[in-house]
Amino acid sequence: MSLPPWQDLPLELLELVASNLSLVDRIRFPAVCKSWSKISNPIGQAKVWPWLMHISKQDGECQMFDPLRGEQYTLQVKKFKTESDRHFFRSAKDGWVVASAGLDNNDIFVINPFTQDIVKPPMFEWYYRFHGVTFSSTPASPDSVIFGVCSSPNGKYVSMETWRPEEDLWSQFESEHEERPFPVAYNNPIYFRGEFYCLGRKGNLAIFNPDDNTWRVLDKPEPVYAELQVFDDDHEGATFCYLVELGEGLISVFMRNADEPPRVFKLDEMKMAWIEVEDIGGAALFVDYRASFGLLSPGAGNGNRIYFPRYSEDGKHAAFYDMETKVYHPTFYGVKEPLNCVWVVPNLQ
Amino acid sequence: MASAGSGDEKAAAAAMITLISSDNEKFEVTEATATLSQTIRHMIEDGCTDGGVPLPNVTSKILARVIEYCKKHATAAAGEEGSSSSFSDAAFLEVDRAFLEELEEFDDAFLEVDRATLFDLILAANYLDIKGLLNLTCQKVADSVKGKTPEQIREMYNIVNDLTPEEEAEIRRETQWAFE
Repeated sequence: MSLPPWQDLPLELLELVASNLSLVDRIRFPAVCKSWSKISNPIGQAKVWPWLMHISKQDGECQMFDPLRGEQYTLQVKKFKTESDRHFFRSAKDGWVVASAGLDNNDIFVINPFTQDIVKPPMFEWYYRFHGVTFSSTPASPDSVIFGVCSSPNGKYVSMETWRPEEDLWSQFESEHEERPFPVAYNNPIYFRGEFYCLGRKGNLAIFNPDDNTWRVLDKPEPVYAELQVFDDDHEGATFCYLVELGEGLISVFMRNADEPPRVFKLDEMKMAWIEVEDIGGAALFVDYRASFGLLSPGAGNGNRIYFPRYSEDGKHAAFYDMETKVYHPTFYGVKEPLNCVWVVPNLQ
Repeated sequence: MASAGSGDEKAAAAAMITLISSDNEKFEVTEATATLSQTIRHMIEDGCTDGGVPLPNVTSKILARVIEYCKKHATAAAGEEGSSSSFSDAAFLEVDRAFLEELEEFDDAFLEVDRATLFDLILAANYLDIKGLLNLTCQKVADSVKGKTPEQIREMYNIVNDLTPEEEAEIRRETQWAFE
């Protein structure tokens, strides 16, 4: 029996095959043979999901861990090869990573590690102090707004800063909340329907509008942990709560400590209330205080999981919580957590 | 589904189409099954199916498999039409879900074929213009290269690397990281 000539498959069928590929497979596909190299599917259409980007040295080597495949890739990023500066990842969105460098971490930049494009906002006067930072659209676009927020530990003073390309300085805004403190969670704000949504450590929300620079703490949804006492030196609940965009909606995740299961809430926009959910419809969440992401279709066997920025020593297994069996995998301990890491959804455009 | 459509089935049974494979084997199928193929649907619309539809590009072995797929999915399509007209009551949704699961299982089992058959199924699905089957088989190929290096893919599909070293270097130039 003669073998079928796979290299002679008509181009439109090869392109149909390629349209189903994820990023790395799509990149490798044209390297198989001449006819397969003719496909014109844009790389930007390949399936992508959050990878854990981390660096451990100053040699420019940037590791990308794929939690769904258990694979690791090494990128050479010139910006991270440096004698003097250490870089700290602060947030990520659309493949762009917010990082800071310098003695006081006051030197901030936004980089796409895959294309090595860099956008450089002005340096901070003092030091890097955001609890959360994100941006509206790709920072390379002229109408982008970068937004950072922080609060005093007791939540009585909230400070916001914005920067748009071409501006020489960050614009600063302050808000006082003597009566009803709003301690901002360590967490990326979410740019949602034209505004920046910020999670409070108690579980309520506040919104910054970048068009008129107004800040408002919402009465609803009511806080999940209204009783939480946030003293000046109390960091309980500071790290382990996350605001995540999933599909067309918002999700919040609260983890009081490593022994308790995470609690997941969906924002019911009709009632403006957090509704606690037991499953997230086969989606996956990737949480971290720097940046969190939701993925509607993570593929068979990966659904209803909450992934953490940790993985097994052999680099093959991501750490996650399974919402169906209510169990942490592998175990919450005994996995390595890169010190300087961030979830980033690859974007090669 | 069977009880609801007994009248329709009789009507459909009246309209049988004969498909003739490249090796001259004849297959009798209902119009509902045959028209999953856009190519055959157009032939029927043009009224040129009397005396059978010759399919010179499809062998009897492959045509039998394609018909097996179309039969199953024609039933599925009929089922979907039935449920969409009815109100979405829980029992109906339950039936729908069970049916979709069964269909998925069928598709998985259907794709348990060797690579030569898969290749022929893709070409047949393309020639006959059966969108579902084409997507299914191309997805299968996409799944099979998942996580594989170009070398492994060539070995799997018996492909000779006819790229020059320069061409290969150019393809890998900006994304070398994905090949290591």
